[in-house]
Amino acid sequence: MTSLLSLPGALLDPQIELRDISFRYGSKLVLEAVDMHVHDGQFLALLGPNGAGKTTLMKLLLGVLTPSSGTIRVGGPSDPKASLPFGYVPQIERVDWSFPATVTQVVWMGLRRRGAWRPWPTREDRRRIDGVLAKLDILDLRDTHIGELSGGQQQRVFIARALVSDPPVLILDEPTSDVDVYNTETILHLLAELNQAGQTIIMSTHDVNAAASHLPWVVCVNRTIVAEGPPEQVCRKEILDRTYEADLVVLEQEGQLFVYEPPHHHTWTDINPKPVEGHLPPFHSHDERRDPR
Amino acid sequence: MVGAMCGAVGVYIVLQGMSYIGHGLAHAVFGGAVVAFLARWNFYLGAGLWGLVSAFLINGLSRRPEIKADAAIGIITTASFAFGVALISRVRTYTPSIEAILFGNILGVDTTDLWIVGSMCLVVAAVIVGFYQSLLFYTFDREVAQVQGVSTGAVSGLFSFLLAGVIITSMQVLGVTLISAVLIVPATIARLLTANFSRMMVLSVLIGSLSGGAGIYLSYYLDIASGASIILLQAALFVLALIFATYVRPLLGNQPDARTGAG
Repeated sequence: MTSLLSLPGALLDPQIELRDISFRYGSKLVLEAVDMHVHDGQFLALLGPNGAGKTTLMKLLLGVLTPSSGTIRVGGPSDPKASLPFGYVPQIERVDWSFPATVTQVVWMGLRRRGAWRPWPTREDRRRIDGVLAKLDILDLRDTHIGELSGGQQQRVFIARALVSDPPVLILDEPTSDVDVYNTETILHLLAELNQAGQTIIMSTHDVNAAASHLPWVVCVNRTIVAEGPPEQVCRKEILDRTYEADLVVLEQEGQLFVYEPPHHHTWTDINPKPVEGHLPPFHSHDERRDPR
Repeated sequence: MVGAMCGAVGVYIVLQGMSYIGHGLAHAVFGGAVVAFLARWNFYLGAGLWGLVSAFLINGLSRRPEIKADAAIGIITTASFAFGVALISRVRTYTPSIEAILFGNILGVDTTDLWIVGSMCLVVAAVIVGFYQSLLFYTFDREVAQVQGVSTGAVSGLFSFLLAGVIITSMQVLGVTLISAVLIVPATIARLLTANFSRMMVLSVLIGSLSGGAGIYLSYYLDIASGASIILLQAALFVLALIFATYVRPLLGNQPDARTGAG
Protein backbone atom coordinates (compact mmCIF):
# COMPACT_ATOMS: atom_id res chain seq x y z
CA MET A 1 0.00 0.00 0.00
CA THR A 2 1.28 3.47 -0.88
CA SER A 3 0.31 5.98 1.74
CA LEU A 4 0.52 9.39 0.13
CA LEU A 5 -0.47 11.59 2.98
CA SER A 6 0.23 11.39 6.64
CA LEU A 7 -3.05 12.08 8.34
CA PRO A 8 -3.32 14.99 10.74
CA GLY A 9 -3.37 14.07 14.42
CA ALA A 10 -6.98 15.20 14.88
CA LEU A 11 -8.16 12.43 12.57
CA LEU A 12 -6.41 9.59 14.31
CA ASP A 13 -9.60 8.03 15.72
CA PRO A 14 -11.12 6.37 12.66
CA GLN A 15 -14.83 5.64 12.32
CA ILE A 16 -14.03 2.45 10.38
CA GLU A 17 -10.78 0.55 10.54
CA LEU A 18 -9.83 -2.43 8.37
CA ARG A 19 -6.67 -4.27 9.40
CA ASP A 20 -4.89 -6.76 7.18
CA ILE A 21 -8.12 -7.94 5.58
CA SER A 22 -8.11 -10.79 3.09
CA PHE A 23 -11.10 -12.45 1.47
CA ARG A 24 -11.49 -15.59 -0.63
CA TYR A 25 -14.40 -16.74 -2.75
CA GLY A 26 -13.67 -20.47 -2.65
CA SER A 27 -10.04 -20.81 -3.67
CA LYS A 28 -9.93 -17.41 -5.43
CA LEU A 29 -8.19 -14.67 -3.47
CA VAL A 30 -10.26 -11.50 -4.06
CA LEU A 31 -8.70 -9.17 -1.49
CA GLU A 32 -5.44 -9.37 0.42
CA ALA A 33 -3.56 -7.26 2.95
CA VAL A 34 -6.15 -4.48 2.93
CA ASP A 35 -5.50 -1.77 5.50
CA MET A 36 -7.89 1.15 5.39
CA HIS A 37 -9.25 3.83 7.67
CA VAL A 38 -12.37 5.90 7.19
CA HIS A 39 -12.71 8.97 9.37
CA ASP A 40 -15.76 10.86 10.55
CA GLY A 41 -16.93 13.27 7.83
CA GLN A 42 -14.81 11.72 5.05
CA PHE A 43 -16.10 11.50 1.47
CA LEU A 44 -14.20 8.88 -0.51
CA ALA A 45 -14.46 6.85 -3.67
CA LEU A 46 -13.24 3.28 -4.11
CA LEU A 47 -11.77 3.31 -7.62
CA GLY A 48 -10.82 0.28 -9.61
CA PRO A 49 -11.57 -1.92 -12.59
CA ASN A 50 -14.26 -4.64 -12.71
CA GLY A 51 -13.30 -7.55 -10.47
CA ALA A 52 -10.88 -5.44 -8.43
CA GLY A 53 -12.71 -6.25 -5.20
CA LYS A 54 -14.58 -2.94 -4.66
CA THR A 55 -17.97 -4.58 -4.17
CA THR A 56 -16.45 -7.28 -1.94
CA LEU A 57 -14.82 -4.56 0.15
CA MET A 58 -18.17 -2.78 0.54
CA LYS A 59 -19.94 -6.05 1.44
CA LEU A 60 -17.28 -6.67 4.10
CA LEU A 61 -17.90 -3.19 5.51
CA LEU A 62 -21.66 -3.77 5.50
CA GLY A 63 -21.23 -7.07 7.30
CA VAL A 64 -22.82 -9.13 4.49
CA LEU A 65 -19.50 -10.98 4.07
CA THR A 66 -17.01 -11.99 6.74
CA PRO A 67 -13.29 -11.57 6.05
CA SER A 68 -11.19 -14.72 5.63
CA SER A 69 -8.61 -13.04 7.86
CA GLY A 70 -8.03 -9.66 9.47
CA THR A 71 -10.28 -7.42 11.55
CA ILE A 72 -12.88 -4.77 10.84
CA ARG A 73 -13.76 -2.29 13.54
CA VAL A 74 -16.74 0.01 13.14
CA GLY A 75 -17.11 2.69 15.75
CA GLY A 76 -15.49 6.00 16.51
CA PRO A 77 -17.34 9.25 16.90
CA SER A 78 -20.74 8.21 15.62
CA ASP A 79 -24.30 8.98 16.64
CA PRO A 80 -25.04 6.61 19.56
CA LYS A 81 -28.79 6.81 18.78
CA ALA A 82 -28.37 5.39 15.29
CA SER A 83 -29.60 1.81 15.09
CA LEU A 84 -27.31 0.83 12.20
CA PRO A 85 -23.87 2.14 11.33
CA PHE A 86 -24.56 2.20 7.58
CA GLY A 87 -27.15 3.41 5.11
CA TYR A 88 -26.78 1.54 1.82
CA VAL A 89 -27.74 2.64 -1.68
CA PRO A 90 -27.69 -0.23 -4.23
CA GLN A 91 -27.15 0.17 -7.97
CA ILE A 92 -30.50 1.46 -9.18
CA GLU A 93 -30.55 -0.71 -12.30
CA ARG A 94 -31.18 -3.68 -9.97
CA VAL A 95 -34.44 -2.17 -8.73
CA ASP A 96 -37.85 -3.51 -9.84
CA TRP A 97 -39.47 -0.23 -10.95
CA SER A 98 -42.85 -1.86 -11.55
CA PHE A 99 -43.16 -2.75 -7.83
CA PRO A 100 -46.31 -1.10 -6.42
CA ALA A 101 -44.67 1.38 -4.07
CA THR A 102 -44.76 5.14 -3.72
CA VAL A 103 -41.76 7.27 -2.79
CA THR A 104 -42.95 7.47 0.84
CA GLN A 105 -43.36 3.68 1.05
CA VAL A 106 -39.83 3.08 -0.28
CA VAL A 107 -38.27 5.59 2.13
CA TRP A 108 -40.29 4.11 5.04
CA MET A 109 -38.65 0.72 4.38
CA GLY A 110 -35.35 2.24 5.54
CA LEU A 111 -36.80 3.44 8.84
CA ARG A 112 -35.98 0.55 11.11
CA ARG A 113 -37.17 1.41 14.58
CA ARG A 114 -37.61 -0.85 17.54
CA GLY A 115 -41.16 -1.39 18.70
CA ALA A 116 -42.66 -0.04 15.45
CA TRP A 117 -45.30 -2.69 14.90
CA ARG A 118 -47.85 -0.67 13.02
CA PRO A 119 -48.32 -1.54 9.34
CA TRP A 120 -48.25 2.13 8.40
CA PRO A 121 -45.86 5.02 9.11
CA THR A 122 -46.50 6.70 12.49
CA ARG A 123 -46.67 10.49 12.79
CA GLU A 124 -43.00 10.48 13.88
CA ASP A 125 -42.11 8.26 10.89
CA ARG A 126 -43.90 10.68 8.53
CA ARG A 127 -42.05 13.65 10.05
CA ARG A 128 -38.70 11.94 9.46
CA ILE A 129 -39.62 10.78 5.95
CA ASP A 130 -40.82 14.26 4.95
CA GLY A 131 -37.69 15.75 6.51
CA VAL A 132 -35.30 13.62 4.47
CA LEU A 133 -37.38 14.09 1.27
CA ALA A 134 -37.27 17.88 1.80
CA LYS A 135 -33.50 17.71 2.40
CA LEU A 136 -33.11 15.94 -0.95
CA ASP A 137 -35.57 18.31 -2.69
CA ILE A 138 -38.14 15.62 -3.61
CA LEU A 139 -40.86 16.29 -1.03
CA ASP A 140 -43.38 17.07 -3.79
CA LEU A 141 -42.89 13.51 -5.14
CA ARG A 142 -43.80 11.68 -1.92
CA ASP A 143 -47.03 10.14 -3.30
CA THR A 144 -45.59 9.38 -6.75
CA HIS A 145 -45.09 5.80 -7.88
CA ILE A 146 -41.36 4.98 -8.14
CA GLY A 147 -41.71 3.89 -11.79
CA GLU A 148 -42.68 7.42 -12.79
CA LEU A 149 -39.48 9.09 -11.57
CA SER A 150 -36.55 10.29 -13.68
CA GLY A 151 -33.10 8.70 -13.19
CA GLY A 152 -31.90 11.49 -10.89
CA GLN A 153 -35.09 11.41 -8.83
CA GLN A 154 -34.87 7.61 -8.47
CA GLN A 155 -31.33 7.93 -7.14
CA ARG A 156 -32.49 10.57 -4.63
CA VAL A 157 -35.29 8.29 -3.38
CA PHE A 158 -32.81 5.52 -2.63
CA ILE A 159 -30.41 7.96 -0.96
CA ALA A 160 -33.40 9.14 1.12
CA ARG A 161 -34.18 5.53 2.14
CA ALA A 162 -30.55 5.06 3.21
CA LEU A 163 -30.47 8.35 5.16
CA VAL A 164 -33.87 8.25 6.86
CA SER A 165 -32.57 6.46 9.96
CA ASP A 166 -29.64 8.90 10.29
CA PRO A 167 -26.80 6.39 9.80
CA PRO A 168 -23.30 7.70 10.54
CA VAL A 169 -21.98 6.31 7.21
CA LEU A 170 -23.61 6.31 3.77
CA ILE A 171 -22.37 3.63 1.36
CA LEU A 172 -23.25 3.80 -2.34
CA ASP A 173 -22.60 1.08 -4.91
CA GLU A 174 -21.71 2.65 -8.26
CA PRO A 175 -24.13 5.60 -7.96
CA THR A 176 -22.95 6.99 -11.29
CA SER A 177 -23.00 3.79 -13.36
CA ASP A 178 -25.65 3.69 -16.07
CA VAL A 179 -26.40 7.37 -15.43
CA ASP A 180 -25.87 10.14 -18.04
CA VAL A 181 -23.31 12.92 -17.62
CA TYR A 182 -25.91 15.39 -16.38
CA ASN A 183 -27.20 13.05 -13.65
CA THR A 184 -23.64 12.03 -12.68
CA GLU A 185 -22.93 15.71 -12.00
CA THR A 186 -26.16 16.18 -10.03
CA ILE A 187 -25.64 13.08 -7.89
CA LEU A 188 -22.02 13.92 -7.06
CA HIS A 189 -22.97 17.51 -6.18
CA LEU A 190 -25.78 16.22 -3.97
CA LEU A 191 -23.36 13.86 -2.19
CA ALA A 192 -20.86 16.71 -1.77
CA GLU A 193 -23.61 18.81 -0.15
CA LEU A 194 -24.52 15.96 2.23
CA ASN A 195 -20.83 15.57 3.07
CA GLN A 196 -20.55 19.31 3.74
CA ALA A 197 -23.36 18.85 6.25
CA GLY A 198 -21.23 16.23 8.07
CA GLN A 199 -22.26 12.93 6.43
CA THR A 200 -19.50 10.33 6.03
CA ILE A 201 -19.78 8.86 2.52
CA ILE A 202 -18.12 5.88 0.83
CA MET A 203 -18.92 5.18 -2.81
CA SER A 204 -17.54 2.85 -5.43
CA THR A 205 -17.08 3.91 -9.05
CA HIS A 206 -15.37 3.03 -12.32
CA ASP A 207 -15.42 6.67 -13.35
CA VAL A 208 -11.95 8.06 -12.57
CA ASN A 209 -12.70 11.48 -14.08
CA ALA A 210 -15.89 12.04 -12.10
CA ALA A 211 -14.22 10.91 -8.85
CA ALA A 212 -11.09 12.99 -9.51
CA SER A 213 -13.06 16.16 -10.17
CA HIS A 214 -15.66 15.85 -7.39
CA LEU A 215 -14.23 13.92 -4.45
CA PRO A 216 -11.64 15.00 -1.90
CA TRP A 217 -10.26 11.47 -1.37
CA VAL A 218 -9.91 8.45 -3.61
CA VAL A 219 -8.84 4.90 -2.78
CA CYS A 220 -7.46 2.84 -5.68
CA VAL A 221 -8.36 -0.83 -5.29
CA ASN A 222 -7.04 -3.78 -7.21
CA ARG A 223 -7.08 -6.82 -4.95
CA THR A 224 -5.42 -4.63 -2.35
CA ILE A 225 -5.25 -0.88 -1.69
CA VAL A 226 -2.88 0.38 -4.41
CA ALA A 227 -2.91 3.97 -3.14
CA GLU A 228 -5.15 6.46 -1.37
CA GLY A 229 -5.19 10.20 -0.95
CA PRO A 230 -6.46 13.39 -2.62
CA PRO A 231 -7.11 12.83 -6.35
CA GLU A 232 -4.42 15.25 -7.50
CA GLN A 233 -1.86 13.06 -5.75
CA VAL A 234 -3.37 9.65 -6.44
CA CYS A 235 -4.60 10.02 -10.01
CA ARG A 236 -1.12 9.83 -11.49
CA LYS A 237 -0.21 7.67 -14.43
CA GLU A 238 1.91 5.11 -12.58
CA ILE A 239 -0.73 4.57 -9.87
CA LEU A 240 -3.68 4.39 -12.29
CA ASP A 241 -1.76 2.06 -14.63
CA ARG A 242 -1.17 -0.27 -11.69
CA THR A 243 -4.80 0.00 -10.54
CA TYR A 244 -6.36 -0.57 -13.96
CA GLU A 245 -3.54 -2.77 -15.32
CA ALA A 246 -3.62 -0.62 -18.47
CA ASP A 247 -1.55 2.03 -20.23
CA LEU A 248 -3.59 5.15 -19.48
CA VAL A 249 -3.07 8.80 -20.42
CA VAL A 250 -3.48 11.36 -17.64
CA LEU A 251 -3.84 15.02 -18.62
CA GLU A 252 -4.14 18.03 -16.37
CA GLN A 253 -5.86 21.16 -17.60
CA GLU A 254 -6.72 24.16 -15.42
CA GLY A 255 -6.39 22.02 -12.31
CA GLN A 256 -8.76 19.33 -13.68
CA LEU A 257 -7.57 15.79 -14.29
CA PHE A 258 -8.57 13.85 -17.41
CA VAL A 259 -7.83 10.16 -17.65
CA TYR A 260 -8.42 8.19 -20.82
CA GLU A 261 -7.25 5.14 -22.67
CA PRO A 262 -4.96 6.06 -25.59
CA PRO A 263 -6.18 5.34 -29.17
CA HIS A 264 -5.75 1.78 -30.37
CA HIS A 265 -3.83 0.92 -33.50
CA HIS A 266 -6.95 1.33 -35.61
CA THR A 267 -9.76 3.89 -35.75
CA TRP A 268 -13.35 3.53 -36.92
CA THR A 269 -12.38 4.85 -40.37
CA ASP A 270 -10.01 1.88 -40.77
CA ILE A 271 -12.87 -0.51 -40.08
CA ASN A 272 -15.41 1.35 -42.22
CA PRO A 273 -13.35 3.51 -44.61
CA LYS A 274 -16.32 4.75 -46.66
CA PRO A 275 -18.98 6.30 -44.45
CA VAL A 276 -22.46 6.17 -45.99
CA GLU A 277 -23.14 9.44 -47.74
CA GLY A 278 -26.45 10.90 -48.81
CA HIS A 279 -28.49 9.11 -46.15
CA LEU A 280 -27.46 11.13 -43.12
CA PRO A 281 -28.71 14.61 -42.26
CA PRO A 282 -26.09 17.40 -42.25
CA PHE A 283 -24.62 18.45 -38.91
CA HIS A 284 -27.18 20.20 -36.76
CA SER A 285 -27.76 20.74 -33.03
CA HIS A 286 -30.88 20.78 -30.93
CA ASP A 287 -31.47 23.40 -28.27
CA GLU A 288 -32.70 21.16 -25.51
CA ARG A 289 -33.77 22.38 -22.11
CA ARG A 290 -33.73 19.89 -19.32
CA ASP A 291 -35.46 19.62 -16.01
CA PRO A 292 -32.89 21.05 -13.55
CA ARG A 293 -33.51 18.05 -11.27
CA MET B 1 -61.77 -16.82 5.34
CA VAL B 2 -59.82 -19.02 2.92
CA GLY B 3 -60.20 -16.38 0.18
CA ALA B 4 -59.05 -13.58 2.48
CA MET B 5 -55.90 -15.32 3.74
CA CYS B 6 -54.99 -16.57 0.27
CA GLY B 7 -55.51 -13.03 -1.06
CA ALA B 8 -53.18 -11.57 1.58
CA VAL B 9 -50.36 -14.10 1.19
CA GLY B 10 -50.82 -13.98 -2.60
CA VAL B 11 -49.68 -10.34 -2.71
CA TYR B 12 -46.19 -11.34 -1.57
CA ILE B 13 -46.09 -14.35 -3.89
CA VAL B 14 -47.09 -12.34 -6.96
CA LEU B 15 -44.69 -9.47 -6.20
CA GLN B 16 -41.78 -11.85 -5.62
CA GLY B 17 -42.49 -13.44 -9.00
CA MET B 18 -43.02 -16.80 -7.24
CA SER B 19 -46.51 -17.58 -8.54
CA TYR B 20 -45.43 -21.11 -9.29
CA ILE B 21 -44.66 -21.84 -5.63
CA GLY B 22 -48.33 -22.04 -4.59
CA HIS B 23 -48.99 -24.55 -7.32
CA GLY B 24 -45.85 -26.49 -6.48
CA LEU B 25 -46.24 -26.50 -2.72
CA ALA B 26 -49.85 -27.65 -2.97
CA HIS B 27 -48.68 -30.58 -5.07
CA ALA B 28 -45.84 -31.26 -2.62
CA VAL B 29 -48.26 -31.33 0.32
CA PHE B 30 -50.33 -33.90 -1.57
CA GLY B 31 -47.56 -36.43 -0.87
CA GLY B 32 -47.89 -35.72 2.87
CA ALA B 33 -51.68 -35.80 2.71
CA VAL B 34 -51.66 -39.26 1.14
CA VAL B 35 -49.17 -40.54 3.72
CA ALA B 36 -51.33 -39.12 6.53
CA PHE B 37 -54.46 -40.65 5.00
CA LEU B 38 -52.94 -44.11 4.55
CA ALA B 39 -51.21 -44.14 7.94
CA ARG B 40 -54.44 -42.80 9.55
CA TRP B 41 -52.56 -39.83 11.02
CA ASN B 42 -54.15 -36.47 11.52
CA PHE B 43 -54.39 -34.83 8.07
CA TYR B 44 -53.14 -31.43 9.27
CA LEU B 45 -50.20 -32.94 11.15
CA GLY B 46 -49.02 -35.12 8.24
CA ALA B 47 -49.59 -32.56 5.51
CA GLY B 48 -48.28 -29.76 7.71
CA LEU B 49 -44.97 -31.43 8.51
CA TRP B 50 -44.58 -32.50 4.89
CA GLY B 51 -45.36 -28.98 3.64
CA LEU B 52 -42.94 -27.35 6.05
CA VAL B 53 -40.11 -29.72 5.11
CA SER B 54 -40.84 -29.10 1.40
CA ALA B 55 -40.89 -25.31 1.86
CA PHE B 56 -37.58 -25.32 3.73
CA LEU B 57 -36.02 -27.69 1.19
CA ILE B 58 -37.10 -25.37 -1.66
CA ASN B 59 -35.77 -22.37 0.21
CA GLY B 60 -32.46 -24.08 0.95
CA LEU B 61 -32.01 -25.36 -2.60
CA SER B 62 -32.82 -22.01 -4.22
CA ARG B 63 -30.11 -20.32 -2.16
CA ARG B 64 -27.51 -22.18 -4.20
CA PRO B 65 -26.41 -19.96 -7.08
CA GLU B 66 -26.59 -22.86 -9.57
CA ILE B 67 -30.25 -23.64 -8.79
CA LYS B 68 -32.90 -20.99 -9.40
CA ALA B 69 -36.14 -20.89 -7.38
CA ASP B 70 -38.33 -22.27 -10.17
CA ALA B 71 -36.05 -25.29 -10.63
CA ALA B 72 -35.96 -25.91 -6.86
CA ILE B 73 -39.78 -25.76 -6.70
CA GLY B 74 -40.05 -28.06 -9.72
CA ILE B 75 -37.75 -30.70 -8.27
CA ILE B 76 -39.08 -30.86 -4.70
CA THR B 77 -42.78 -30.55 -5.47
CA THR B 78 -43.07 -32.92 -8.40
CA ALA B 79 -41.00 -35.51 -6.57
CA SER B 80 -43.31 -35.21 -3.57
CA PHE B 81 -46.48 -35.32 -5.72
CA ALA B 82 -45.08 -38.34 -7.57
CA PHE B 83 -44.50 -40.02 -4.21
CA GLY B 84 -48.17 -39.46 -3.33
CA VAL B 85 -49.30 -40.82 -6.71
CA ALA B 86 -47.00 -43.83 -6.32
CA LEU B 87 -48.45 -44.59 -2.88
CA ILE B 88 -52.04 -44.38 -4.16
CA SER B 89 -51.31 -46.60 -7.16
CA ARG B 90 -49.62 -49.11 -4.86
CA VAL B 91 -52.50 -49.47 -2.38
CA ARG B 92 -55.27 -48.80 -4.95
CA THR B 93 -57.66 -47.24 -2.48
CA TYR B 94 -58.63 -44.13 -4.39
CA THR B 95 -61.38 -42.85 -2.18
CA PRO B 96 -63.54 -39.72 -1.97
CA SER B 97 -61.16 -38.38 0.72
CA ILE B 98 -58.30 -38.36 -1.76
CA GLU B 99 -60.57 -36.84 -4.39
CA ALA B 100 -61.40 -34.06 -1.91
CA ILE B 101 -57.68 -33.40 -1.42
CA LEU B 102 -57.23 -33.15 -5.18
CA PHE B 103 -60.28 -31.09 -6.14
CA GLY B 104 -61.69 -29.69 -2.91
CA ASN B 105 -65.01 -30.40 -1.20
CA ILE B 106 -66.69 -27.69 0.81
CA LEU B 107 -69.30 -30.16 2.13
CA GLY B 108 -66.52 -32.23 3.71
CA VAL B 109 -65.50 -29.30 5.95
CA ASP B 110 -66.48 -29.89 9.59
CA THR B 111 -66.41 -27.64 12.67
CA THR B 112 -62.82 -28.60 13.51
CA ASP B 113 -61.72 -27.60 10.00
CA LEU B 114 -63.51 -24.26 10.42
CA TRP B 115 -61.68 -23.62 13.70
CA ILE B 116 -58.37 -24.49 12.06
CA VAL B 117 -59.02 -22.22 9.05
CA GLY B 118 -60.15 -19.43 11.38
CA SER B 119 -57.02 -19.76 13.53
CA MET B 120 -54.79 -19.76 10.46
CA CYS B 121 -56.57 -16.61 9.27
CA LEU B 122 -55.70 -14.92 12.58
CA VAL B 123 -52.08 -16.09 12.35
CA VAL B 124 -51.79 -14.68 8.79
CA ALA B 125 -53.31 -11.35 9.88
CA ALA B 126 -51.05 -11.15 12.96
CA VAL B 127 -47.87 -11.94 10.99
CA ILE B 128 -48.69 -9.48 8.18
CA VAL B 129 -49.57 -6.67 10.59
CA GLY B 130 -46.65 -7.37 12.93
CA PHE B 131 -44.00 -7.81 10.25
CA TYR B 132 -45.54 -5.55 7.60
CA GLN B 133 -42.50 -3.32 7.12
CA SER B 134 -39.97 -6.18 7.13
CA LEU B 135 -42.08 -8.25 4.72
CA LEU B 136 -42.48 -5.23 2.41
CA PHE B 137 -38.73 -4.50 2.38
CA TYR B 138 -37.91 -8.22 1.94
CA THR B 139 -40.34 -8.51 -0.99
CA PHE B 140 -39.06 -5.33 -2.66
CA ASP B 141 -35.31 -5.84 -2.29
CA ARG B 142 -34.08 -8.82 -0.30
CA GLU B 143 -30.36 -7.98 -0.49
CA VAL B 144 -30.65 -4.40 0.72
CA ALA B 145 -33.21 -5.41 3.36
CA GLN B 146 -30.55 -7.69 4.85
CA VAL B 147 -27.98 -4.88 4.88
CA GLN B 148 -30.48 -2.49 6.47
CA GLY B 149 -31.16 -4.76 9.43
CA VAL B 150 -34.02 -7.00 8.28
CA SER B 151 -33.38 -10.57 9.41
CA THR B 152 -34.02 -12.00 5.94
CA GLY B 153 -33.45 -15.61 7.01
CA ALA B 154 -36.14 -15.29 9.69
CA VAL B 155 -38.55 -13.45 7.35
CA SER B 156 -38.01 -16.08 4.66
CA GLY B 157 -38.67 -18.89 7.15
CA LEU B 158 -41.75 -17.13 8.50
CA PHE B 159 -43.10 -16.67 5.00
CA SER B 160 -42.52 -20.33 4.13
CA PHE B 161 -44.40 -21.27 7.32
CA LEU B 162 -47.32 -18.96 6.41
CA LEU B 163 -47.53 -20.26 2.87
CA ALA B 164 -47.43 -23.91 3.88
CA GLY B 165 -50.03 -23.22 6.60
CA VAL B 166 -52.37 -21.41 4.21
CA ILE B 167 -52.11 -24.16 1.59
CA ILE B 168 -52.75 -26.99 4.06
CA THR B 169 -55.70 -25.30 5.72
CA SER B 170 -57.23 -24.32 2.34
CA MET B 171 -56.79 -27.75 0.83
CA GLN B 172 -60.09 -29.24 2.01
CA VAL B 173 -62.04 -26.40 0.40
CA LEU B 174 -60.09 -25.72 -2.78
CA GLY B 175 -58.12 -28.86 -3.54
CA VAL B 176 -54.46 -29.33 -4.49
CA THR B 177 -55.02 -28.66 -8.18
CA LEU B 178 -56.91 -25.38 -7.82
CA ILE B 179 -55.34 -23.71 -4.78
CA SER B 180 -52.61 -21.83 -6.61
CA ALA B 181 -55.15 -19.78 -8.59
CA VAL B 182 -56.77 -18.49 -5.40
CA LEU B 183 -53.32 -17.42 -4.20
CA ILE B 184 -52.42 -15.62 -7.42
CA VAL B 185 -55.57 -14.25 -9.08
CA PRO B 186 -56.85 -11.81 -6.38
CA ALA B 187 -53.37 -10.28 -5.96
CA THR B 188 -52.97 -9.94 -9.73
CA ILE B 189 -56.39 -8.27 -10.07
CA ALA B 190 -55.45 -5.90 -7.22
CA ARG B 191 -52.16 -5.07 -8.93
CA LEU B 192 -54.04 -4.20 -12.13
CA LEU B 193 -56.21 -1.79 -10.15
CA THR B 194 -53.57 -0.04 -8.02
CA ALA B 195 -49.85 0.67 -7.81
CA ASN B 196 -49.88 1.35 -4.08
CA PHE B 197 -48.74 -1.60 -1.94
CA SER B 198 -51.11 -1.01 1.01
CA ARG B 199 -54.13 -0.60 -1.29
CA MET B 200 -53.07 -3.70 -3.23
CA MET B 201 -53.09 -5.69 0.02
CA VAL B 202 -56.55 -4.45 1.07
CA LEU B 203 -58.01 -4.99 -2.43
CA SER B 204 -56.52 -8.48 -2.72
CA VAL B 205 -58.01 -9.54 0.65
CA LEU B 206 -61.42 -8.07 -0.31
CA ILE B 207 -61.42 -9.72 -3.75
CA GLY B 208 -60.29 -13.04 -2.26
CA SER B 209 -62.94 -13.10 0.48
CA LEU B 210 -65.87 -11.76 -1.58
CA SER B 211 -65.17 -14.05 -4.54
CA GLY B 212 -64.75 -16.95 -2.07
CA GLY B 213 -68.19 -16.32 -0.54
CA ALA B 214 -69.89 -15.67 -3.89
CA GLY B 215 -68.15 -18.69 -5.44
CA ILE B 216 -69.52 -21.02 -2.76
CA TYR B 217 -73.08 -19.73 -3.40
CA LEU B 218 -72.54 -20.23 -7.12
CA SER B 219 -71.28 -23.78 -6.56
CA TYR B 220 -74.46 -24.55 -4.58
CA TYR B 221 -76.86 -23.11 -7.17
CA LEU B 222 -75.00 -24.44 -10.21
CA ASP B 223 -74.12 -27.74 -8.50
CA ILE B 224 -70.42 -27.59 -9.38
CA ALA B 225 -67.26 -28.10 -7.28
CA SER B 226 -66.67 -25.21 -4.85
CA GLY B 227 -62.99 -24.72 -5.78
CA ALA B 228 -63.86 -24.57 -9.48
CA SER B 229 -66.68 -22.06 -9.03
CA ILE B 230 -64.50 -19.73 -6.88
CA ILE B 231 -61.70 -19.79 -9.43
CA LEU B 232 -63.99 -19.31 -12.42
CA LEU B 233 -65.52 -16.30 -10.69
CA GLN B 234 -62.04 -14.89 -9.97
CA ALA B 235 -61.00 -15.50 -13.58
CA ALA B 236 -64.05 -13.53 -14.75
CA LEU B 237 -63.10 -10.69 -12.36
CA PHE B 238 -59.55 -10.80 -13.72
CA VAL B 239 -60.85 -10.33 -17.28
CA LEU B 240 -62.99 -7.38 -16.13
CA ALA B 241 -60.01 -5.81 -14.31
CA LEU B 242 -57.84 -6.29 -17.39
CA ILE B 243 -60.47 -4.60 -19.59
CA PHE B 244 -60.76 -1.77 -17.05
CA ALA B 245 -56.97 -1.23 -16.81
CA THR B 246 -56.47 -1.42 -20.58
CA TYR B 247 -59.46 0.42 -22.02
CA VAL B 248 -61.51 2.22 -19.37
CA ARG B 249 -58.88 3.85 -17.14
CA PRO B 250 -57.07 5.65 -19.99
CA LEU B 251 -60.46 7.17 -20.92
CA LEU B 252 -60.91 8.45 -17.37
CA GLY B 253 -57.70 10.39 -17.89
CA ASN B 254 -56.56 10.63 -14.27
CA GLN B 255 -54.53 7.43 -14.39
CA PRO B 256 -52.70 7.03 -17.66
CA ASP B 257 -51.25 3.69 -16.70
CA ALA B 258 -51.40 1.03 -14.04
CA ARG B 259 -48.07 2.08 -12.54
CA THR B 260 -49.25 5.30 -10.97
CA GLY B 261 -49.24 5.41 -7.20
CA ALA B 262 -52.50 7.34 -7.05
CA GLY B 263 -54.50 4.19 -7.77
